[in-house]
Amino acid sequence: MLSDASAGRIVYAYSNVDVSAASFAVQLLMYFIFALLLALVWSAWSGYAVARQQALESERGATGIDAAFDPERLRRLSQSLIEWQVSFVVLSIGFAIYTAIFWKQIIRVGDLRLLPEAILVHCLWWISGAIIGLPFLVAWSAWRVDRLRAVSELIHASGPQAEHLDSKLSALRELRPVGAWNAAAIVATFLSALATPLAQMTVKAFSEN
Amino acid sequence: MLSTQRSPLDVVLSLFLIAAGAIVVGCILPGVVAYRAGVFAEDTMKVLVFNQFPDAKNAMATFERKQAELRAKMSHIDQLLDSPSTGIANRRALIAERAVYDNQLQRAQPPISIQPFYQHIIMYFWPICLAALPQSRSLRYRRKEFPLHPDAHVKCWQQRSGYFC
Repeated sequence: MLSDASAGRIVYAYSNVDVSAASFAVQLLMYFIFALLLALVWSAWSGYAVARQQALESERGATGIDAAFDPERLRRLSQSLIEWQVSFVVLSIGFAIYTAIFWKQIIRVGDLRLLPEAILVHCLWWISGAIIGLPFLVAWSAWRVDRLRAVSELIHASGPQAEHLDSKLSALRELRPVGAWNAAAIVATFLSALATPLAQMTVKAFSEN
Repeated sequence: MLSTQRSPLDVVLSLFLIAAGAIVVGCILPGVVAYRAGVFAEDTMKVLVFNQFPDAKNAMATFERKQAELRAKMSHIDQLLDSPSTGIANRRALIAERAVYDNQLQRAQPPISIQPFYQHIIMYFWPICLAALPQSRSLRYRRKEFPLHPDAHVKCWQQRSGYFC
């Protein structure tokens, strides 16, 4: 199924090795550069995530309350979220075109030979988006731990620290650097960006039939 | 402090350099190679393909001959329709016949598809893709100031290269 071409036309593309070996070599070079850049992006962002994790651990306040209400940590968390959103959008510009080319051939033209490569590229897009989101997830996770520490400290507090316990716990509960709706919107954007080329090509295929 | 802010001018310059590099590597280099190989434009590539693949040339010639025959038939029908001696019944039959030929002409696809570099989707794809991939890291951090905490022990050679960091 994956090796049979059912279309009746023969395509002579400029990068075909039988047509132009030099253009074929350049095409391979492009794929190599693409893979290299992708590896560098993965490496840089995962290194950034590790660095952020170690920085967060070393900067952790003496108490959970200090850490949970530290404005610098809260600012960094919000900043990480914006970085992820911007970087994912920029990254998706390239991947959206890349995957759309494949899905167009598969869904509209019916050429299933490209299916493995289309799935692979889509997975690369997904993994890249997740790796770019690692620094944010690290900061988010650290902040949640700090908040739990703060709650635990408040519950076990005694003396003057135990005063106004309800209002302090309420303040902690209300403290949300990233709102639930914002988080849901991010997840929805992430998933819809990945599904858009598929949905678009499917709709076009149905509308043409 | 994990990160170091860059000035807007630095960011714009960085984005410009990456975009320019992507255009050179992703568009100009393949374009020059394609031009030298004779596969840049459709006319030169058609000559190259027909020289290398006689079957393609024959298939295309057959297709074009059939197309020419259809056009000749349609032209003949047009002449008959213009003639005042053609009766109404004949006129209807000729119009129907012409519509069939016209439909065949519109729906016929050449047996081969020649796809040169110029205006090919790849011509636009690689520059965009190569520009988009490294942009994300260039947005916030100063060169050679990778946001690595002094206590961190992460091996990341990009922090020294300064390209992504």
